[in-house]
Amino acid sequence: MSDLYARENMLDHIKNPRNRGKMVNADIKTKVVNRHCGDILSLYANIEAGKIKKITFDGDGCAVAMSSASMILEDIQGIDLKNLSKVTKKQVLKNFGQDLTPSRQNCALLVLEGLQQLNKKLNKNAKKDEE
Amino acid sequence: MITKSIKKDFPILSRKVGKKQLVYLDNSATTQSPKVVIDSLTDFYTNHRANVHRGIHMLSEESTVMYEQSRKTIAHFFGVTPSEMVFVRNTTEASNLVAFTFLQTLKKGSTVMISEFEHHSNLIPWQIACKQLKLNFKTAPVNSEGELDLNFIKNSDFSFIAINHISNFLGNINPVHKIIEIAKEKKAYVYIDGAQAVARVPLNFKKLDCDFYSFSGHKIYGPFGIGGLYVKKQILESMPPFMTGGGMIVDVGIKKSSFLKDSEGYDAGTPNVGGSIALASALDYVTQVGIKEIAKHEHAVLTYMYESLLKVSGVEIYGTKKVSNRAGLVSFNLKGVHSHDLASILDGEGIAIRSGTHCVIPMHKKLNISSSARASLALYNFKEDVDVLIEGVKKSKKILGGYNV
Repeated sequence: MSDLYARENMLDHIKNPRNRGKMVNADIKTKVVNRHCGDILSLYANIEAGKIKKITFDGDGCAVAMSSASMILEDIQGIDLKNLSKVTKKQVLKNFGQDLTPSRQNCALLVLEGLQQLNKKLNKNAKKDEE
Repeated sequence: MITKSIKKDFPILSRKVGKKQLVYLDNSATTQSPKVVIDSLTDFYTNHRANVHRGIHMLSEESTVMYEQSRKTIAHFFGVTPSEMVFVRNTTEASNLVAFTFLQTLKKGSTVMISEFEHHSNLIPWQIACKQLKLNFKTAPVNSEGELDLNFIKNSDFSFIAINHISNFLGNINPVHKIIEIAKEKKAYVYIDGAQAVARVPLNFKKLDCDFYSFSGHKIYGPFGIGGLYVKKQILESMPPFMTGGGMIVDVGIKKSSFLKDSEGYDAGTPNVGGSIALASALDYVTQVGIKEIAKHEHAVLTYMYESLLKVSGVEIYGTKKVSNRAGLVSFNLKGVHSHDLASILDGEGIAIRSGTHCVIPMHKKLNISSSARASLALYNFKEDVDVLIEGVKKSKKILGGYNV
């Protein structure tokens, strides 16, 4: 595990998190908790013309959970909403290479749970709009 | 005096974690077993395994004698009789057992009291049982160091109080003698969760004069899956059964059955025979080393650990500042470093500690922290282990300190 904290990419995202911060005028937001440890992650997004115009995160959690959010959110800025469900576990974990033990994978995957929940909310809202 | 050669009694302590030597400081979660305990398990399964009580053949006779002897050894270690020593899987099962049997005997509207710093296992069973049985549920407040307000307890009306002897999060030794004294005046019953205490404090349940005292075997150098619940004889005789089935009966009819009124009345089903035998051997080992010696040795290392951690800038320690009132463990946070990251970096150095909420979410909420790191000791830890820990904490600070909040 010691190698994990030598990963420059991860350290860079801890020291200079991207898209971190509460969004006051978010169109949609969600909050997830890692029940194993109590880590909290909130996601905020602005939606425009079927795309994620901007997405940010905030929370209280370990370096793995927070840097994982920072890394994956950097990749999905501006994507089509329909592609949100296509973010995979593999895609999230690849940011950490082989260094994550099963319990720390839960930390890295907290952001994925958040994105999935956000997607569910979006679909629900879309259904309501159709009705 | 306990010397470093004692480490040789514990085979696991010689293993490596990656390229580093293991430094095991997660003893509040579980202690390691000495070879004699592991050997006693192997011996039982290799040479004597048979189900107890219902067999006439030699193996069954042997295992029955060994099982009954183990209950004697365990009971005598704590100064009580075997008929008062109920076997449970762990401390959690003990509190559930009491909550779902004994609490039925209290009058509706009676009050059950606990503290704010209880482990979830000494909170949720009472919470649920009180709701089902229409009992009041009350908590005794503590200050920011987790010290109980004894006056509040003195001035409160309650029929039953459940409290831990040593907090598994704060490391405070709680004033159980005073609480028992207060409870006696009120004719209230006292349940003590001794999970963190049995391996650290010399104990005689009879002299302590509590009504219930519970512990887990794996936290006193024994195997997983076996523990004990002491219940005072007069109470046990009037308590309804918990798990029912074979082994705990006097007579069975289609419409009505009668049950044993001592510790065997809580032995429904095939018991953990090997586990009880190995637990007895763990207690024999503790007796051989000497529980007073262990307490003295551990407290010296604890004091060193507390003071060494205090010297690292950015470290915030939880629990009482009176080190003489602490035992076994120190929970802390390093500013700007999440406890999981700290535990991960320490793991890279071969050091095993615990991080998270230690099953004490309410007290973490009270202190306004989301998690904490906990280093906990056993008889085989020495100042050198603490030095390795401190180096690891300093290294973590170098890598992550000040960035991630």
